[in-house]
Amino acid sequence: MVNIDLMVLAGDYVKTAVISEWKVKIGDSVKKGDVLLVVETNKITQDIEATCDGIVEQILFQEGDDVEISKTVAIIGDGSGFASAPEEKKPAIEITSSEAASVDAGVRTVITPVAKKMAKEKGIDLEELTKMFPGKRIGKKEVLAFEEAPAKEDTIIEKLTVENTAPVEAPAVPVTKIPVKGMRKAVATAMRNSAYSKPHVSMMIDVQLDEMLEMKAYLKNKYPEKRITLTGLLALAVRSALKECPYINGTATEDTIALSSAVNLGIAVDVEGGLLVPVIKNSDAMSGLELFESVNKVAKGCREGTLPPSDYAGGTFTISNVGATGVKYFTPIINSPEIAILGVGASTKEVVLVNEEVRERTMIGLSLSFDHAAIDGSPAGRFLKILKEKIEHPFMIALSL
Amino acid sequence: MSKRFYKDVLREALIEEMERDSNVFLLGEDIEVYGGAFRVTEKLNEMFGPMRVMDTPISEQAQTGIAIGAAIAGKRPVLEMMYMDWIGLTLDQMVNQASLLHYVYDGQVKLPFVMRTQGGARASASAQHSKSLEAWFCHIPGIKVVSPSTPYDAKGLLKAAVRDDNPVLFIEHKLLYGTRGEVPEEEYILPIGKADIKREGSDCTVIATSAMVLEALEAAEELEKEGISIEVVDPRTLVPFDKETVKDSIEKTNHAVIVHEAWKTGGFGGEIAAIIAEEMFDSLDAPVIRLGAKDCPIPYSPGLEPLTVPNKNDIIAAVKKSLQ
Repeated sequence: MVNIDLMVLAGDYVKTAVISEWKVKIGDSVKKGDVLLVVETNKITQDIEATCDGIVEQILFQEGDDVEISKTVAIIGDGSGFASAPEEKKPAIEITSSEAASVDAGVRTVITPVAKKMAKEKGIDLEELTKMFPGKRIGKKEVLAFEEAPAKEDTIIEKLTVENTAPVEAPAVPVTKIPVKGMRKAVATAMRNSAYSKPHVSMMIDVQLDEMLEMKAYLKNKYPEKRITLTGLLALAVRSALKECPYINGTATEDTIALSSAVNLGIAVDVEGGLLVPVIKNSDAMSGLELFESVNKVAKGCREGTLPPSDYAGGTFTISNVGATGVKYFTPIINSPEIAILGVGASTKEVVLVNEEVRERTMIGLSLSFDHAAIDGSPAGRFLKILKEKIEHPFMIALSL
Repeated sequence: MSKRFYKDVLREALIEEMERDSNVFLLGEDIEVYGGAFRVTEKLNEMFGPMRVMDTPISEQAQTGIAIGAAIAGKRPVLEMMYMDWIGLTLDQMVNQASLLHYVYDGQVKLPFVMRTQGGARASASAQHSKSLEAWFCHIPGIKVVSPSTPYDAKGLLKAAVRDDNPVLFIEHKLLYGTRGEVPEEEYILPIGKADIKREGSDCTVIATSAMVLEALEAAEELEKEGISIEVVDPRTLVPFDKETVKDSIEKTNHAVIVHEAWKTGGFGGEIAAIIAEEMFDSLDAPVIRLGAKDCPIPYSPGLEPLTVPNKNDIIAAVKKSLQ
């Protein structure tokens, strides 16, 4: 005889489920895997299958009942007690109800009066308490043990945090508490989702910037009315490198890697209270000057909050520039679901060897984080190498598609 | 303070009260010339004369009736009932007269009457001289029931009983007369209705009465060696019963063992257990355990008698069971 319960639903804080439909009745023959009933939780609808072959001897709850998942809802046996007359429900019910009662008696947990009282005072959930001491009589000792047990990870973190910020013996230090909401909440959620779902690998590389700076100076001179920025120039190089490495331009989810034929370039912009990533759609269809202008435009629109929501979606690659802070390398978090992000660091004047001669060069640090689930290290490195060449020798940009 | 015998301080209490109040007088079997079966009234006849220390015939009902009548008339009789085993003969006087008269006469009479008696086993005194029948009287409203376990309590409570305007059954114990304890030189009186914690502890409350307090204290010594701390609560007075002290103790320990020499079935321990269940349920971490005499006559045989009444080993086992 096998008791059927709803424990397959366990997890995700599911404690009860509503029986929406019985697919069998008492006396039915079932095979292992047959659907016995359908239940609903607040999250899902689920078929509950027979775990063995046999005859449904008992159905203990009706459609519409809200049932604890640990409870037996049906009993499958060999039907010996009523095989000859399965229609006569009465003897079957009598036999099995006494068995059901004994099943209940078997799982009854004894909690002493003072344990109940202490649990109530300490806000301890009796269900959690009994889970920690299965089959045991729960007394004062068990409640105290439960209280002392470092039960949950978040409790530990909480404790550690408390210890770190406010040591017990030190006088209380005023703490500013900031609720995580609005933009902070959005950034937090996006970052968590990306960090915990994409296996990040970051690679750093030093790139000589001198020729690009010359180019910038030249363009500034030629187009004094235009605002020529390094970010714009880098965007140009990135766009060009992406065209040569289409495997890194797109998005990746668990099931699909979607490589984009267009380069929709995201530019991470610091704004008050968070971080936004406006996207320059079809950047690859723009002239260089149009791209520079777009970079400036989205950054400005973003800071002023004038961009429509659609301008923040659909990116295929993102550039994040922290150079102004003096930081040279970092490990940016990918703007999920994109495959990679380029972190641009500070540029510094360094002494380098050029053709066996010591020269002063302006070096910039680039950091590429990529989703190792979508691409591997070698192609990612190749992209950086191509990008480096395009920045060090901007005329190489002209050679790409 | 000096160490004094239980029987001697009882005698002293009587002397002090008789000297203080000329209405106090003693009556009972063999108390006058013989000085009492347990020597509590020894030579009191020489001090106070035959009008205040009276031998009576062997008629328990008559003795009780005389005492009740004298109390109604304004005297303060202290009757010695030699063995508690014979107290059944006083029942009609106690249950239909002493306990009721103040009520039925609408407060016009007072019953300042003390019946001193002694009970308990373990002296090979035989089945007719070893019983503990306090529960009979605890059942009757209108009678106070006092049961001291130490010389200090005995003296302070006997003086309180003599001064009380209600019938008081004052239960001594044949094994306690020869025990000694610290008693102050100066006069003192203890309140009737107040329990005493004879030993503080944290793991289990042992509520013990009369001579069982001594067993509980010995059990406490042994349990302490095993790291178990028991609190010994001596109610001292069964009626009125000090619930508060018991409650405070059980709130601390969450475990209760009750021990008395009276038979377990129908014993006052059942009443205490019921009070705990009714009023202190939420403090319990284990079922209340009662220890009492086995439900059989108390044997004369020194080999059998110790097997019928609880002892320290039973208390130790009960405490351990409660703490399991």
